[in-house]
Amino acid sequence: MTHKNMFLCHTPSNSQGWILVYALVFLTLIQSAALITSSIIRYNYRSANVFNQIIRQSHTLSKSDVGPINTSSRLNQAPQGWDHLYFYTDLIDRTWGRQHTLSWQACLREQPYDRAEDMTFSFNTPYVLVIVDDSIYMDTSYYTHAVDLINNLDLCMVGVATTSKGLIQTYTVNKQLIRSTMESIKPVCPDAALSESLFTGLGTFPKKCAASRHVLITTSGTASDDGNLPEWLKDYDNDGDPNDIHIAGAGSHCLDDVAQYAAEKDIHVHTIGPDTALLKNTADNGNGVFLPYRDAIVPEIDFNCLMRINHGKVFHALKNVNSIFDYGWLAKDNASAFAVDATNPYTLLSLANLDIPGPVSSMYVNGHELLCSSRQGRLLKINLTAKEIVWSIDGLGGDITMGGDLIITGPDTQGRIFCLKQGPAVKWIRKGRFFDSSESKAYIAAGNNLECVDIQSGITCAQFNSPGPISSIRYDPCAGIVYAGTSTGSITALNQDLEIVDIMTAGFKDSIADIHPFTSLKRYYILCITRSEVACISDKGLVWSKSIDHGTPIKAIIMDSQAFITTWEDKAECTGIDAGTSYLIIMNALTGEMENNKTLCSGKAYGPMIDLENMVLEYINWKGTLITYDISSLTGVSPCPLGSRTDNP
Amino acid sequence: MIMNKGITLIELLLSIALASVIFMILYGMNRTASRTYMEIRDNWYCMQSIRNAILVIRNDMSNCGYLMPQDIRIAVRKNQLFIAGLPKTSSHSGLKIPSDSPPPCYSIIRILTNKGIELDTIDLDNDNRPDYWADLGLITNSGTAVISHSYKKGAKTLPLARQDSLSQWDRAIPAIHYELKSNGLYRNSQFLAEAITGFDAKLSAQKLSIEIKAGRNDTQKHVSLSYPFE
Repeated sequence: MTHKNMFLCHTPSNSQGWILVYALVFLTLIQSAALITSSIIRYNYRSANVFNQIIRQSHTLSKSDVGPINTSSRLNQAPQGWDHLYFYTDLIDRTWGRQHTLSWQACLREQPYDRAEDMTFSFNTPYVLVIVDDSIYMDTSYYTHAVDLINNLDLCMVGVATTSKGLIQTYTVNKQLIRSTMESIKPVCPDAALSESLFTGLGTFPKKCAASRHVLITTSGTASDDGNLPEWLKDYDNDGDPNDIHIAGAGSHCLDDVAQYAAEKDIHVHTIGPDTALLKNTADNGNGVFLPYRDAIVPEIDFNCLMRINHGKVFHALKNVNSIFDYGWLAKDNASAFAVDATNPYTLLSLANLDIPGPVSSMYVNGHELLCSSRQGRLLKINLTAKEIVWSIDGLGGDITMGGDLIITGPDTQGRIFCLKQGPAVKWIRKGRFFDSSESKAYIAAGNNLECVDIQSGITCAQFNSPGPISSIRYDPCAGIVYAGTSTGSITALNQDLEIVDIMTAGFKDSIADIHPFTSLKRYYILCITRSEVACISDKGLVWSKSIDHGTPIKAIIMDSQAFITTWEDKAECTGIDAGTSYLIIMNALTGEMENNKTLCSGKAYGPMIDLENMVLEYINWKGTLITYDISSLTGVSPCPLGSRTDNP
Repeated sequence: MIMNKGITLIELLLSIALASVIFMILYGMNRTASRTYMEIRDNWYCMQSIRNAILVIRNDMSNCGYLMPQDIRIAVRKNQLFIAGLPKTSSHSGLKIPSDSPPPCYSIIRILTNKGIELDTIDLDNDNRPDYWADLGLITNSGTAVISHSYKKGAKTLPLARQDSLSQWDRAIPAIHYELKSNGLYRNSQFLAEAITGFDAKLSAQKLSIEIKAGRNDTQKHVSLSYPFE
């Protein structure tokens, strides 16, 4: 029986069948080779792709496009090369996931506040000669009247003479000096040659620069052994007074005659004393005022003498209008007024009157609060946010600073430094001329003595006796060191217990006027200035010293290892804050090399106000003209990188 | 019957010839596959070496100069690279922000001798932990150095294995030290990548450029890295 193959594809094992087998094997091999090749290609492609991705990575820090998730900031001590007194370091930490990027930036600790002491104008400076009767006839209550008036004589040059000794204090604007001169006068002389003193006093006025000339006679009204004058002057007013002659004892009336003569010489004669015809006639004849007031003498000028305040992004200029602080922009409805009790200065008496006499002369900004004082000694606390006066205290003036939450101000005209609670209330009082403070201690210098006072308790913690009279005090808040500059040119560095750390000298002839500590490459330096020189001293000794060619240094700041020194050159015959030229001298603080010299303005430049946000130093002159200097190129004004860190996952 | 027939000589010869061709093709494919495998292996080897180097360098660069002076954070020498920073270890988690003095943190070279240097401090961040140890690099204002392997952690005097001409009163900071040796790339004297045959770093004001070459047998790989500075 024959078996018939029923498969559709008949594959007999003949030559055709073998060819088919070979063809199938061949196809299988080709397919395998293609598969292997494609896998190799695919592997290589993937591998190359991954490798390509690796090398294409930017290798910059991968930050999110949406910005940092978290930004934190912390304050540290002053950056290297920046003034310890005025700056902090602001460390800014920006976080993206596990990655931190740190940067630093200079941040303002406090502005370089200053006190405007010299307030005279070349075009309008009255000269006032105070003639004080120091005879045994003198009623000393008139001294007080005269001292009060002198305290109000802003913008004036004042000299003091006595009937017995003549001129004992040359013309000056230093009220403390005038006050101490007045206090030194004792009424012990047997005679009071009033008209002779007036006649002599007329010759003490300068021939130039006096816009107006005034004589202020303070007397009990009794002339004794007086009238020894030229014959033509004895009855100059031709009033036929029989006493217009020299009388060996009391009774001469030549005073009103000399006053008339003075008036014709354009000199005003004012009188302070009892209500007598002689004194009133003298004031009348002398084109003056009997019992004069401030406005009779002080010129009315609109001017600025303090830097502007940067409160947030709002700027305030403390302006004086008609020579009086203009506080019209402040509400005073809720303000309290106080005065220091003359007999017990620890007591503040309530006052009904909030009038602020005189121009503003010093200030300090503490957050939203402005503390400022007028030149005549009235301390104001102002809320800058509410634009209102909180309180005023009559009798307090001088520099202002804060020690913790307490206010330290002084010296006043009596040379006292007050510590006040915010309330206000007097916490303690010390005599002193210069002071500075840390958070807890005040350092007060008087003569050769330096005292450390605990601010909260008022207890004296330590004392130091300097080899020379102390002319400046600075507390370095970064190093915790107190620097005491002396009038003999040496600087003593003391720790907070006033133990000597170092004694440095720059070989200055003048008094040390200001001290600025800073650090560079971990070494401490101090830049000190006198009236004519600048020097840099380290713990190893003098680094450099230079004379200043352009005027007198009035302010210095160290930024980015550069000393920014403001000078005022007043070569004018008649001096005043409107005269001369102010310069900004920029020196390398480490080498003393001059780097820039810029003319700021005519007259005295006040400031600078450091405006790190706008990257400028801002000065102001008496007219209120603003002058800015760009500091954007300084390292530290903008954030400077401090590298990055990636936390472990 | 056809099934009973034998094969002819021609059929045999043709079969042998065809089989030979098939065997030759198979041999060639095997050889190609083998060579490709070797190349892939060498490629992979080079790439792994480069990848290792890149990852470590990238990590070090991401922590470069943290809290240190940025003007001396990177230094390059022939076949060497110094990246300012401290490698994180089990005993040292890196620099911390000092509380008493503002960064940047650095040391000052106080004394310079033939044997080494004495620094003003070996604790940069004042956290009572020494921040220098053996085999670390040093970057200073005037040059670079490598701390000797014999240095005992905590000692103020640092013996130096190799150094440029350093200067007294220079700033000095610890740095991670990369060096290409004959058998590969080393990091702080520890072997990092075997197949690296070229390591060339260039520093400009804008960026750090690193050329890394890896080679094995006939395979060569070349990578250019660029780290732009902010």
